[in-house]
Amino acid sequence: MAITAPFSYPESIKEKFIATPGLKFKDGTTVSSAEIWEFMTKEAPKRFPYAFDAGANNMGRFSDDVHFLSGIKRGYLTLTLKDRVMKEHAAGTPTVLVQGGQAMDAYYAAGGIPVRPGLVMQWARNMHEGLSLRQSETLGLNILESGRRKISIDACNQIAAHAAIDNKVVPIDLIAPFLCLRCSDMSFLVETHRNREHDIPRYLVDYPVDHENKPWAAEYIATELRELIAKIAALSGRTITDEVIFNEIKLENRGRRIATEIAELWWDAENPPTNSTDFFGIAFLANDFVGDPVAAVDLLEQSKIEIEERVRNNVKGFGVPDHAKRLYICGSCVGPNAHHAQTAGAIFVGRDDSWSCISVPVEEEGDPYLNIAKSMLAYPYEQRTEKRAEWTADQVKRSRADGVIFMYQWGCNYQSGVARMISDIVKEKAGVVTTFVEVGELGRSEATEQSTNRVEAFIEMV
Amino acid sequence: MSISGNYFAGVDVGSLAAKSVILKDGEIFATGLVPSGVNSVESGLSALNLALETAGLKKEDLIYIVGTGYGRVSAPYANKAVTEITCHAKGTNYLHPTVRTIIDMGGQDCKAIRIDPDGSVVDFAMNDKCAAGTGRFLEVMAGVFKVKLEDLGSIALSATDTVPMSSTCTVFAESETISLVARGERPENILNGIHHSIANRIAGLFSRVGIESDVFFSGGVAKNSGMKTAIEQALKVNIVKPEIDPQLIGALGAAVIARNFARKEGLWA
Repeated sequence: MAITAPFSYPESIKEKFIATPGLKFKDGTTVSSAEIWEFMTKEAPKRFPYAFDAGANNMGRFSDDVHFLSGIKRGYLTLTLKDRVMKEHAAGTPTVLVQGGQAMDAYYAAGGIPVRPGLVMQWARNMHEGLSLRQSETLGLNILESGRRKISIDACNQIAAHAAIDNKVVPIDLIAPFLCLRCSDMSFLVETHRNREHDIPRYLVDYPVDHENKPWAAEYIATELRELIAKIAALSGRTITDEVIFNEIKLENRGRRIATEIAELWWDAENPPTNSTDFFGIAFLANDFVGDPVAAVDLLEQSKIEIEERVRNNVKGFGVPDHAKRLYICGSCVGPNAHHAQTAGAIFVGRDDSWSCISVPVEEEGDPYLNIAKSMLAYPYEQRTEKRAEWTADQVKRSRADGVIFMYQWGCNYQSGVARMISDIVKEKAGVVTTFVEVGELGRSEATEQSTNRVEAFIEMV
Repeated sequence: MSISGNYFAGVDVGSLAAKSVILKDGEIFATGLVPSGVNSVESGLSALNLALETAGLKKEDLIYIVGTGYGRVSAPYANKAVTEITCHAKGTNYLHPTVRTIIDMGGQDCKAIRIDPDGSVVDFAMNDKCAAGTGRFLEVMAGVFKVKLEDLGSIALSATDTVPMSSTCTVFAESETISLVARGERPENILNGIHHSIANRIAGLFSRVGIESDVFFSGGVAKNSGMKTAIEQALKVNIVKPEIDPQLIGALGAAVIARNFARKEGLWA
């Protein structure tokens, strides 16, 4: 294996970086940019060397665009997740397993920290420090295989997150995802936690899959949300009022609004103002919030100012190829490697899964439970397949994409079933070329030749 | 010795074989074909050196080299790397400009490719994560029957019947075959079934990209007459007769692309 020097931030940008605002957190603290710089240049490379692996295969590799300073802060939020969650958990804040693509307003409002399977695995891998990329991935794969042994060798790679919880690699206090059909992970989750010896309580939020023209659906979910929030509040000790929930909704709506404004700016720019890594890393903060919506929204605001300035000055993000082909990515969990795609001449302009819940704000007046329920029922990704495809086609046109890659993980019995239909409808409605690729590499950076080959060939075709 | 002419090379390092083609003034001048080894750099260089030797050239005489195939990522001798899908399209178009549909069956994958009159890819589909329906699959079957790989097709064509076979897994198909042999089924009928099961798998890839005449069959498996016949029956098409060894099409396309890159980069007018 070729040895590549670790990624590092150049000293030449330090002065400019530490002059920028720090990040505010939900516990009322602020971390200065000088502290962030120290962490990202001294502490983190020692504790999490895998993250600084500069090999092109590293899926989680940091952006090379070191002058996009918000990107450094994004890396800080990612690498401090474990410390922040463990600290809060030790102080009594409950951690809650949720599902991908699910809005988190209710969970945060109730005083919990919602974590999705992807974040669980990142957290689990970071519980062991000082690991190289290969060591870190081997750790993750060992957890994955332990999960498969318990459930099925045919389970998709998301089983790793449930195994990490079942094996108590990370402390989770409540398992409370909503049960939609976005991902086979849901079935494997239920099976993993159905008859386990662990004592983690479960509250599965039933999601009426066929909810179109069913007026009772919103009230049905709202009733469940009342119970869910009460359960989390019982663990957190927080008193929940409608005002508390609305405050959280307003904060997360602000995040969703800024992310949308960033995307609009980015899509309309003559030159893409950031590379794919920075664009997705920043815009999707409003989808994930990385354990702290206050910090995420703060960073979104700072990022928007940076991106506005770049667009105003027609600055092209570092790494964006000349005449880059614009690709829209579909599907859950996995996506093509951004660095490989850039080398092949393409940039990513959007992603249906991550954008789905950002695109649906929650109403800020009335019954907060009912409002969250209504927004959950409106997520484009959770609609019947034709409707989801039509929304995706609109996103493809809006983002001025030249092509669409639908990627899904082997073992995902839901996305594999809709990939072709969505690809075909988007091709017809948006008038762009599409392809779908099944991969087996979720959580793995090495041995990805088969999927890389397909993506490169598609870019050449575009 | 002074060398006259403009030389461009394409090197296609596949999972079973490494191939090279040298173009001189737009015509095929020399070719090389060697088995792929573990070291893909060495495999590619062996194929290239074989063609250079045949042509009486040195590597320095080549204006531009394009690498393709799965070994293209380890091709320090090449100026650029391009995927084999694009190369098969260009190579086919170079030889047969009327072709609009390509079936490429190599050692580890099979592809359905649609191209336009310029030889640019307009759509493609590939097998995902499984060697069933590829050259490696046929190699396993040749091993089961203890016959030469190149004889499989003609044996299949001598069949009097077609035994239905699994098309989803190489290992399952192998065990299925062993049990059929044990039950006394005739080898040619089993092999005929194997060829038809692969052809049906290929037909599945075309359900998305569609078929437009003319149709061409490239890659190492294209040399198998039984497979050609089975595909013609499954797709209800006539396959264009190749002008050169169909296993060389990817390398030929890479050489054609090398010439285009050289022109674009001002290395050749």
